[in-house]
Amino acid sequence: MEIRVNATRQELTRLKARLKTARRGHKLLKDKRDELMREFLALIDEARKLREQVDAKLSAAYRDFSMARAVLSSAVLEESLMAGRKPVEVSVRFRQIMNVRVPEIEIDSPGDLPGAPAVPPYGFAATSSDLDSAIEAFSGVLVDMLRMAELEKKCELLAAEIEKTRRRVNALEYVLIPELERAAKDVQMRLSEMERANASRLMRIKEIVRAH
Amino acid sequence: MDEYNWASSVGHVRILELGLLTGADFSKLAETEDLRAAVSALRDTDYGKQLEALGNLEEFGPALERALGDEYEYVLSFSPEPGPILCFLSKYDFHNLKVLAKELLLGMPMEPRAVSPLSIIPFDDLRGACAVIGEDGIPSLLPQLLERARSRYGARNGHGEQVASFVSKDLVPALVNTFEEARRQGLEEGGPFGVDSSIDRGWMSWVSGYYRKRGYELLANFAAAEADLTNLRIVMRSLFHGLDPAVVTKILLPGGTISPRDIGDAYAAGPEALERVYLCVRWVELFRRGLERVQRRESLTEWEKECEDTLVEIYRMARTRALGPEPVLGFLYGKENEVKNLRIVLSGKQSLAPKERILARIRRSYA
Repeated sequence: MEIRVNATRQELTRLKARLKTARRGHKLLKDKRDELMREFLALIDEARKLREQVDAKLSAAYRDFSMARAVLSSAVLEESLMAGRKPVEVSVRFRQIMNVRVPEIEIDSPGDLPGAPAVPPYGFAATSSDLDSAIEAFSGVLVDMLRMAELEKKCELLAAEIEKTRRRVNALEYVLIPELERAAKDVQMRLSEMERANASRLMRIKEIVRAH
Repeated sequence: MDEYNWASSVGHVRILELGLLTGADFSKLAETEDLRAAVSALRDTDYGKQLEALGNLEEFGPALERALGDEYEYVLSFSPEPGPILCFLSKYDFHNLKVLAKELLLGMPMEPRAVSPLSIIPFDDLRGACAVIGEDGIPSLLPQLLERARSRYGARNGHGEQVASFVSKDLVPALVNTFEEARRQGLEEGGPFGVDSSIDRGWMSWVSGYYRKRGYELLANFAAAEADLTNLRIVMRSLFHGLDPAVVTKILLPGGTISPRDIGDAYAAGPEALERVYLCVRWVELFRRGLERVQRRESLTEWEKECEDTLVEIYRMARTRALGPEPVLGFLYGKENEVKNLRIVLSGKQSLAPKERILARIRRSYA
């Protein structure tokens, strides 16, 4: 990107003002990027640990479920699962992190999550405890999955913002500021040149006047 | 009941028993490399025909169910009277009643895979019958139900009239009463737990009553043992989940050697009181082991297997009977147990479970 301006004092003043703003913006954006990175690294670490936990819990839940499926006939299993457990109600609120709007999920009504007193949605006589364990395991993992969804969405939004900020910082640092500096320098040199030309012209005119 | 009428059927069953898979067979199956190898190993058994027809090996569940259905029909074809066998099979009708009750009473969307194809009364007939129960409590579609039941079993084995009589005089009234009870429970408790439990209770009460009324004492004892062991499992799971004593009293099955009220009262009083109740019956050791697991918050999987093995041992008493319907029903129970074991092995292979994990869950064989 080349900045073309008239070589005037007014343009030079304007260029210097732009340069000053660009440098200030660059510093602010760099600070924003660093802060976003700090937030992002903390979140990504938590998200990674949570994902490992969720994977392990889901794998255990599926293992229990596969055993329940083996012990019960498919008809009994399907009949037992015709009624879901009480739904879990959640609400999503938003919070600003460095001007990024990130979601926060809150559980309004826990339904039949672990700890909530509840009878299962099927009778005990025709089913086995493997089914209880599987349902309990799936219910247990739901809270973690909601938290994981929140964290991963935050990470995704922060990552996008970091990327955007990084591009802006780089554009300022490697394109706009050097161009403004070069343009200011060009104008400055051009003005000096014009001043020197003016001075030599005046001296030449003075010489001619003296000779007459 | 003339036991001598069953002589030929018992002879048939003795031969069929030779084809039952043994514990060693299941161990060999568990040691196979994968699902394909396990299914191949079953090609020479009674399940071979159904499994060979499978396009997708993962769909072994319905194939095993079809094989079980074929066995039921075959046993019915040589039984002198279908009553005890149909009573044994009625669990599938009561199962379908649960599906129907959840659909009609609780407004849940019907899941087609939840319907058992092994019921005596086809599900659609049951649905039609229950949907138009009159003030007298009798379904107005009863003639259609009877006709369907006749054509299903009667044409093949000449039991048409007996099946129709069983359906109209025994099964349908039992289903109607149970449905009404489930309707009341469902409305009172407002949930599927109450509906399921009410139907389970209705089934057990009717089955044990049927056997006793017709003088099948050993079959009634089997039903009582099944009720006792089921109640024991219900108690342990209730303790594990901390269910309210008022709820537990309502879900215990009748027909066992200990009355649901005694168990319910003891449950409310605590584990010591429960142990006192079980001290006078043969399940006390099983109770203690179960309680230990509950108190340690350990999985009940292995303990439940122990309960089922105990029931298999009880049913195995039928093998010592020379005459009567008991050996036939014992064989059918053994066949169901075999199908469950096959499901455990094949599901284990499907989910790449280690051999030890599969073997730990295989139930004792009836063979």
